[in-house]
Amino acid sequence: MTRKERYENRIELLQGTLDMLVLQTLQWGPQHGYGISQALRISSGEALQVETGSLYPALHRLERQGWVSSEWKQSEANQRAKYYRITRAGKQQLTAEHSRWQQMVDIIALVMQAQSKAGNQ
Amino acid sequence: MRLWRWLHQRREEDDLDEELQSHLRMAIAERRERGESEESARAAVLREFGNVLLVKEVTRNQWGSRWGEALMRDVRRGLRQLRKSPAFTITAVVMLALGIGANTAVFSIFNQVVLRTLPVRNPHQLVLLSQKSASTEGSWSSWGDDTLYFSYPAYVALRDGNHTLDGLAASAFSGITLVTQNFADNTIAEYVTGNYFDVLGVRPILGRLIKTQDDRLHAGNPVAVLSEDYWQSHFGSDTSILNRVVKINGQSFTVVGIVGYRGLTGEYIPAIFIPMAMQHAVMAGRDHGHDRLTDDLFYWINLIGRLKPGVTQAYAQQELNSLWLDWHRSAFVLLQHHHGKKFDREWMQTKLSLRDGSQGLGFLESALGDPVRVLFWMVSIVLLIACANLANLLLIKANARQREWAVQHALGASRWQLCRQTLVEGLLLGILGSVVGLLLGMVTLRVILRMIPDTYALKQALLPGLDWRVMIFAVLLGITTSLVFSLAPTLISLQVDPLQALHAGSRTVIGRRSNPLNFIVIGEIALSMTLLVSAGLVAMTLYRLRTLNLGYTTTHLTTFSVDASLLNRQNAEVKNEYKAIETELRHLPGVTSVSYASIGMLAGDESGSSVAVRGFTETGPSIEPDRNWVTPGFLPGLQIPLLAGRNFAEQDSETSQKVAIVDEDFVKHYFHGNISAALDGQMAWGNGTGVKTDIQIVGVVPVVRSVSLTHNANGPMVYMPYAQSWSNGRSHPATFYLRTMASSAGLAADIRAAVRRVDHDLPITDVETMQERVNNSIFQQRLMATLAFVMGALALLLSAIGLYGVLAYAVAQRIQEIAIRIALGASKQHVSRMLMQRMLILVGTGVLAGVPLAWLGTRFMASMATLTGNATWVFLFSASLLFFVCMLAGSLPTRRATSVEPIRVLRAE
Repeated sequence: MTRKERYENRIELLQGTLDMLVLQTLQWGPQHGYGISQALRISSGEALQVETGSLYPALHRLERQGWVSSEWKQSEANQRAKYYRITRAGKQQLTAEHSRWQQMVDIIALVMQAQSKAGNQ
Repeated sequence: MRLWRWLHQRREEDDLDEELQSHLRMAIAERRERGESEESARAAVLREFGNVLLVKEVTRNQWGSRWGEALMRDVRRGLRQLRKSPAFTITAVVMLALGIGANTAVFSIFNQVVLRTLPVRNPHQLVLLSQKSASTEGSWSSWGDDTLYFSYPAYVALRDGNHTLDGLAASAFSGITLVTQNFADNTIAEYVTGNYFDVLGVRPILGRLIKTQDDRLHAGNPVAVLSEDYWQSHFGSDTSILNRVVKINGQSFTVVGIVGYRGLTGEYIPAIFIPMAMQHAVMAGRDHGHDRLTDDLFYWINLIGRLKPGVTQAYAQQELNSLWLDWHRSAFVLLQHHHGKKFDREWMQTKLSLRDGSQGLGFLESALGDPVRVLFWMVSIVLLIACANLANLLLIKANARQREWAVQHALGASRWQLCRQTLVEGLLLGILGSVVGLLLGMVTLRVILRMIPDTYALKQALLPGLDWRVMIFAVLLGITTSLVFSLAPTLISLQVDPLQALHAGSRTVIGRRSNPLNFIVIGEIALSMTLLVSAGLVAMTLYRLRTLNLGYTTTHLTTFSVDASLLNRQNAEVKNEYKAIETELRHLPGVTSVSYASIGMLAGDESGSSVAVRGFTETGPSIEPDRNWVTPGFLPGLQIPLLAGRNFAEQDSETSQKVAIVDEDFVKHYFHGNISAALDGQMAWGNGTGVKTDIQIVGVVPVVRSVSLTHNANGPMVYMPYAQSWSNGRSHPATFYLRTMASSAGLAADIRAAVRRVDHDLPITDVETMQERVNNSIFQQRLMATLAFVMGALALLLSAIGLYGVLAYAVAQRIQEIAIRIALGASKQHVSRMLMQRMLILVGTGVLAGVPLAWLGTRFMASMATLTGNATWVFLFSASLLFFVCMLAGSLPTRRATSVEPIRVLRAE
């Protein structure tokens, strides 16, 4: 039992940012899994290639936590696809995570700058 | 359960599959648009996607374990545990099911008798009116008993004068003869006022109910509403019954509706409802010109009203009381003025009170309430014992599983998980027990109801079905009991200490903690003692009743009743009809003598009034002897011996000297026990100076039990010739007695045929042998005794099992100690003495603790039911029975202990 919990924690840590990115993408409207991965790829300037093995677990996790909801719809290409939509709770989560992440970036930047200054001297 | 889970998972699985497939399809489609070939697009996409199975696997992991799934896992593990030890599971479930089943059946009766309210709109707004009048005995004045009966004029005054009630309705019950084209039946009618169904808020199933327009005084509408039960049982639920005509006591009535309502739960369940204004037409044959509806002094109807919203019962009572006193005063003045009747001031001292009417007249409650409460109490004890046994079993099991739990705990299972596991196991047992118990309860209920004789009105009043309240009761009972008996093992599971448990090796660590086991067993034995004593007393009471000397023989005697006086016939017709029936019956094969009487023996009926005896002045409180009109064959037929004088003969006719035969009680009261003085005596019915004592006493007979077996205080008895019963212008029912040669098999059919030959429209009731009549008349005591016996036996069995379990466990635990003792030279006698000692202490303490408990129990029972019997003997017998059975149960583990072979046991170590 305990071992399993630890394992889950590890995933949580690694996937923290992916969750935020997915939520951010869904801000522009409902999208299916493939659409999300394409959107992330394009908006990151082809830099980010999200693996399906990470994306789908993330989506299902977000759904379980109630941050996104899903429904089966017809896509533009007339294909049946599962569309995810961000919920109100998801939006709050996104704001919270965004500011947390911002803080983290600032702190890391501060540390890195101080170190690089020290290294330069 | 498993299927549902499987289906659910299947759906999520398919969903995921399709989601990933749609991803692949879209990716391929996009590459195709960019001009790639189908094949290379597919290959690229699959490469990009990675291992589809693996993706599915990681995604599925995200579904995680919901609490429902954790519970399912616990349940599955619990079921596995129960399956692993089928003997334990079956024992536990059977014990629990017995307890819950018995409780469910008794609660179902309790529910119907004590808790059930009338099936009407807002029954708790209903109030029942009762009145009390002051009675004076010597110089001591007190309020007499409540009566629920009122006169019709009083009803009208209360109905029209009050402002606190949303209507006041009245009803009365009456035995009637119902004749249709197809059958004739003696049944019960309820006379209801026009507003009755409105006030109660009852709706018809079919047609309409009785309305105010149907119930105008002296201009009633001859319409009738059938009860649903009667409609089903006698008309096969035929909807064409509407607007058909049926005859009630010879009077034509039109059926206008069917109602799913069983009356005010009085002593009788009505089959048919008719307007109260039609009472006179229906009862013309009986009432002889007496108009009940205008008689101020004839109390015969029950009043039930509905409080207006917001009006308190006390306030309404105040208002109705002032109306009641006003009416009483004006009736008093009027009666004195018109009839010159003299009333003592007592008549004016009266008060009216309101009581809860939600259960109607609550006859069931008054007839069965106390016995049912006693049963409920006994059956709860049985459940308690079953629970204690289960707790013991689980405790023993928990001790045995300490090691297993310690290992689980060491491997990372939290205490909470272990505790949850034991709770779930207990709950599973509880649920299994409830389900089996509910089934058992349904069967038990049917068996109990089958024990109520058909002729008894209660038979109809109690329903065999289990309603939602009973279901909820059983489920709650299952859950509560399972929580109670899994409490102890749960506590143990919370105390698990892996180190200690593992270190202790194969020896169990709980040895010192077997005290709770002992306490539980002692408690069980004490409770069993209580039940055994109670059962013993009930059985003794029944035995006394059955061996009671009735004063007449009941063998080779068959009886039945008819009532031609209900059919609106002339006296002469009724007289000839009874005579014709008697003649027909005389010719039946095997019948040696036929007689009849106006009042049936042991039918619970009595009829009497005060008497005047020449030369006798009443000094004490006045008594009212019972009277029975009998044919000359009656006393010899029932083998009631004459102590002095002569029996009636054919010569005692309507025109000859009026004669009577009295019993010894009569002689004792009116002639100071002097029989020869009695034979010279003359008497008359009624009292006062104007009564002419013109009935000659011609014979004296012993006192017999005529009203009922339990009712031993029937007053003095006067028998008079049936032939002289017509002279006062009234006709009576007749209960026939047929003396037969040997067996009376097939006689019932012959009797019915014979009566039908005489009068096709005359219904027959209560065809039974006199022995059946005796048995039926004490069915309540028999039922109680049977159930008490079953519960006592159940308690005994459960206690024996409990004791066996504890001793077997003790022996298993101490087997090494015993082996060492034997190896060191202790004799087998010594070992068995050691165990016997322990057993004696347990059983002895239990029995001793049971004595005060049982004493309390008998006090409680005696406050609710009449018990006769020597309590000391019952106590002694119960104690020795308990001792014997428990010692028997305990001797098995003792034998195992003494047959221990030390070498083998110690080597196994």
